[in-house]
Amino acid sequence: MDEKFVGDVVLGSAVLAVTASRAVVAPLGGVARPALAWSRRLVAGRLPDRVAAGLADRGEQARVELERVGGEVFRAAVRHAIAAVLAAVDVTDLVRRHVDLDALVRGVDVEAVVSRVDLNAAVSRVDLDAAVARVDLDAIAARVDVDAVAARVDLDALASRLDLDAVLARVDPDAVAKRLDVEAVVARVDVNATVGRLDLTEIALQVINAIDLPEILRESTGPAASEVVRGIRIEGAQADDAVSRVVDRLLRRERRRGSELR
Amino acid sequence: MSAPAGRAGVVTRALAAVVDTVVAAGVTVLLYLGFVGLRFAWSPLTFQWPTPPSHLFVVVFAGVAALYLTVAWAGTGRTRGGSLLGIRVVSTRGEPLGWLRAALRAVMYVVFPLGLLWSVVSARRRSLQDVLVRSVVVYDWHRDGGARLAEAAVMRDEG
Repeated sequence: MDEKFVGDVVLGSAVLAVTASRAVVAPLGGVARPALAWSRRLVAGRLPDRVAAGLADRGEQARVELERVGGEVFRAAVRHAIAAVLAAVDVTDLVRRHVDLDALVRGVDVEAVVSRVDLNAAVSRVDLDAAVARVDLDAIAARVDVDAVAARVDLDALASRLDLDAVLARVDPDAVAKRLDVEAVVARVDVNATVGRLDLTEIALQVINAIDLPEILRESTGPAASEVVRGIRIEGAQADDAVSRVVDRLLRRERRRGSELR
Repeated sequence: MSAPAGRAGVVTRALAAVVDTVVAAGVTVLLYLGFVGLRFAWSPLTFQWPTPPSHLFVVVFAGVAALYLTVAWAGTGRTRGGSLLGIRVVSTRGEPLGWLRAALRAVMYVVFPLGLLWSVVSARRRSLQDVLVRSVVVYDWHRDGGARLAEAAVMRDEG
């Protein structure tokens, strides 16, 4: 028999006693002493089991009821007490005065807290559109030092990561050219002003000076002026004379005038 | 050796004739290629490389040569070969040949080029054609046209 069972039996006996006493208060007053002794015997295990079980049942019911009622009463009492205390005391002020909040915060392992937070879930609950709509981007941009930002940017590294081929492949030159109003561009060019800035006379003189006219004329005479051609002509004329001399001798002719003619 | 004066001999003239023959042959080939190109441009699908008979080549070559020589002699008196070798064809009076004499001389040279050999034995270095059209070939190493201008420019530059 465990301790709880024994308690229930005792309680059940008490309830039975009370009930019985309620029925036979006075006349059976004398029975009380022997009943008590009996119950003592019962607790000691000498009572028949059937009687003990019945008493235990009764006692268990009573104990449960008592615990329930007692719990309710206790809770109600505590509630009232706390409400009364809180009404009398300024808890915030109390905490502020007596609690070392700094030490408390120092003791908090923020890393662990953050690691336990599911940031993705938290962010997914945030209405970013609404948040952004409330942001004054102009004001932020006005505070940004663009020069400093640009100075920190490594454009070379950026450009090296760019796949220009792929970018250009996506560009449709025809479409770009179609959008270009060439007439308008040309219309904005002041040709007269441009020409006016040029010193045409000076340019012409420079060009003429740069051209070696005599050299060009010398070259334009072609191979006829070259030493090779001159050599051929000389050889040819000498051969002509040689042929004439031979023929003159063969024909027993006087040395004719030949190339010395005229 | 300074520039010779007088009538040009057979060697110089034969060399000039060789050059002129090459020129005429080149023009003939160019004409043929131009004709082929025209045929191809006219109908590329049915194009076949034309193979004209060889005598047609001879005829065209003769025509080209005669025309070329006529124009050259009637104009400056110089063919390309004459210009290279420094000789000029003039009349016996030293004047330019007219168109008629130039054409006659040209046709005769095309038909009978061996007539040039008469200049070997001719005391006055005249070929058969020279005798017939009364022309002579003289040494003339001076340049023509723009070349004279260039010479003047060079002289001015150096002076």
